Amino acid sequence: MIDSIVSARQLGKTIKDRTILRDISVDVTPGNVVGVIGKNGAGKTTLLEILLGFSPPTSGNSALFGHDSFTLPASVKAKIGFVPQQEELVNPITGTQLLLLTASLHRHWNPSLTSTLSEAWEIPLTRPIQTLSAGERQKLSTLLALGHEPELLVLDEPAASLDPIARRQFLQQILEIAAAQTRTVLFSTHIVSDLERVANQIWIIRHGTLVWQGDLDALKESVVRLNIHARQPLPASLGVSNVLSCRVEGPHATAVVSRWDGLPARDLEQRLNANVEVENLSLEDIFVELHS
Amino acid sequence: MRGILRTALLLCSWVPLQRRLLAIGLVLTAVGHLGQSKFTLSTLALISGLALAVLPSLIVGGTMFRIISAPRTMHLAPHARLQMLLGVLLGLMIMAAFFTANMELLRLENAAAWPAGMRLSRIFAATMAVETVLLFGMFFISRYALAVWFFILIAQISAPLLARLPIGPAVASRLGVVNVIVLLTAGVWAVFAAWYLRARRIAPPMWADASAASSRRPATRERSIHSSRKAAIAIHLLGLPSIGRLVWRGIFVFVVSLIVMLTTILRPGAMMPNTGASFLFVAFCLIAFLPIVIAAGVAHRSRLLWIRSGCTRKELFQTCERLIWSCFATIGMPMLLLCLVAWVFLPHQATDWPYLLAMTLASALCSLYLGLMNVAGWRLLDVTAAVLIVLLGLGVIVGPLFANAPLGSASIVIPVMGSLGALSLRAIAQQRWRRIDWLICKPPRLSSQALRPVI
Amino acid sequence: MDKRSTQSAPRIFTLQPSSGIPIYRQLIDQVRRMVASGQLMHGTELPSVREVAAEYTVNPTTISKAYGLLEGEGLLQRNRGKPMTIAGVRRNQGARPQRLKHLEAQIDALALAAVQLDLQAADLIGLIRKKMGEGS
Repeated sequence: MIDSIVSARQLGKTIKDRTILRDISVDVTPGNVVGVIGKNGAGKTTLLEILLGFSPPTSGNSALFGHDSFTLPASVKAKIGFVPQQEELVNPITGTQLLLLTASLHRHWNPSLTSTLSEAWEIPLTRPIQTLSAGERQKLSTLLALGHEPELLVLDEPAASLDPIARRQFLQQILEIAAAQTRTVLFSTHIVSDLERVANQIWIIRHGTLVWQGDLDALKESVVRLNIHARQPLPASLGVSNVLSCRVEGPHATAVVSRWDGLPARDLEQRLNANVEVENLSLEDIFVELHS
Repeated sequence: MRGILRTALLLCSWVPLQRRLLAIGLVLTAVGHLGQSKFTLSTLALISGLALAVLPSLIVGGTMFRIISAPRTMHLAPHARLQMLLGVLLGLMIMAAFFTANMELLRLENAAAWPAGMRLSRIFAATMAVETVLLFGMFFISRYALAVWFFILIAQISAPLLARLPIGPAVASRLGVVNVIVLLTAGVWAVFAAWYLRARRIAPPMWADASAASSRRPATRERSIHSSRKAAIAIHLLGLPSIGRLVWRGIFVFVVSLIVMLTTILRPGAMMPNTGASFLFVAFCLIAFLPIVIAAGVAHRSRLLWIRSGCTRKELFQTCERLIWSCFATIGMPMLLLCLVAWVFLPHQATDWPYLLAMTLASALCSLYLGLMNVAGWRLLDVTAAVLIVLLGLGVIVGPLFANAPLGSASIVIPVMGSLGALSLRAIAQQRWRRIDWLICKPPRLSSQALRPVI
Repeated sequence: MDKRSTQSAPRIFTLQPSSGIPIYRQLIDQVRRMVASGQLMHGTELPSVREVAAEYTVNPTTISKAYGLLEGEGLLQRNRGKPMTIAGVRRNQGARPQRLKHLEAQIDALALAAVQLDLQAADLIGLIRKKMGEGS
């Protein structure tokens, strides 16, 4: 059993009578790219920040590299790179200076990596940071977390301000990190298409609980849309289990089911005396269906 | 119409802290009224209550006015700015009326304590004038922080100057002091309104302005910075390239204070008996309350170092404390020297320099640790401590400076108690930092909630 | 490995990350089809997992999963130190029903389309025969 890098057990967080997170248990093993999706206000940022030790959980516990998150030792923090949602840059200095400063805070730093990336990503490093555009600031923020080649990279909405080319470059960098099987990436985003490319694990958070935690491929294979066409009017309840949504109009019906394992199609066809077409859904459609 | 009322209401209730202070102030005022002729401190309670109820709203109000005027949609909505301006005016008038009514009540309850010839209209006019100055002052200061010295400079220079103008006293005696004040206030409002309603862009406060367009002219020359771990930590916590930058700002303040002092020295005829005392008062207050600004800023930026620097919460507390102390020392020292010079050369009636110094430093200590402590929002403890520090701190500085009352043993007891208070605040701060929650304690940034159009 | 040569090489697969079908399954289906149609001959070198991942900007895990499953099926051959190659198609690779099963999904789709177009099985069979070169 490989030790999980990030683990949480029954994590809960309440701020001023508002329950933000409820009973969250997760495990992340090395070498994975985990994508966290959820609506605005679902608790993604809160979850990530509690996992990193910024905030104490109200209930449950969380650990990174085997250590309790709230009291992480310096040796563990050196293995972590964090890109927060609201960037934390020092405005009056230039990018080069901030990179130098960040380098002096870490024991291990790869200056050739940062210079290569800053050139490839076209980040102006000689102007004060306050004069950079939102996209350039976000790129710089990401760069600062990559310089010390962390084993665990946590990003909170890292691509929100990036144009499509910058986003593609960013994804390529994530994949290069992921290709080394020892490094892990955990990021939250709204851009579902990015996740479909790079993530192999997905967490879906809805109203503070984990609705799905597992393989992206398994998710796509288990949530399907059934298009049913019969010659006679169909009954209102189709007798299918794990239905997320269902619409019946005379002899035609559409149902979205989760936890589909492929076998019931034949039985369903025989039982309803109809044609059942199984349609796979994209991650965005799955997300929408899970929230309807 | 609704916009006007909503803005007037917002003036008193923008921030939760404001509402709490308002509540405490109202209670104190009621106590003051009920206690008239029953116990001697009731008048003091009344005045403090009124100050607490009204002053915070004026100080916050200026900043709030700027924040709600900033969104570009405000410029596009018809009559939005006019409504907000009228709303603010209405709010100020309500506060002035509240104050005047309380003063009238006081007169009815305690006729003996009432100075003769003080009419309601005078009180109302004076209150409106002071409120206007405070509100517009904060409006401009929230954008250009150093404008505070600009205002003090103007006040210090213009007061004796007006007294010397041949026209001044003649006009005053012809029209009556009240009418002059009303005219001046109305004039200020008219000028402000003319600018405000036409201005193309009203920028939000500096600390909230994230747009690149607002950035100051980019430095043509890259100033070199130290790149040691210690320097990196300090720069992250301050948000400035160096402590030196902070010292330069302090020196600027120092120089302006020097100019102020010199202008009063060099025109001996214009000096009033208490010029020195008022200068010292402002200087001492600044020294006493400066640390809380630095401390709060540093404490809220500590979040940046949690992962990056690898420090534990305890280590971060100690680092922040040390940094704030060094900042305070570098800025405070020149200010204290200036105070010493003022003490020697400017006329005043105060006698107890060691006491004033001790009290100022004790207040500074308290406000430093209050700033460090304030990492979990404004709880009851924070609000109480803040109120005590401000009221007592002001009180024990004002008394000996202006009234020249002999203090005796109190001159030792009070500073000692102040220091003990600071130590207990430090203990609370240490304990809070052990469980600091950076989801709540973030660098100040205007949420989209705050920037939502009011109208 | 020369990155330039990989980038100028034509893309063999068509991968759509946003489709409802997982990427590894798309890859498997495509390799199977191309082997069956002869587009990929025995011995053809496939690009490495890293190359495919970089080219299409997808997670390498999913590519290696696909390659692993194809190797398990016998379609791919792992050569130590060299890229994976198409294994030789052995004539007697399981019984006929098993081989037919590979095409069952496509035949389902074909049958459905034919019903919707009101065509008979005989029409289809004739066309299939023609396409496979077994006479009209």
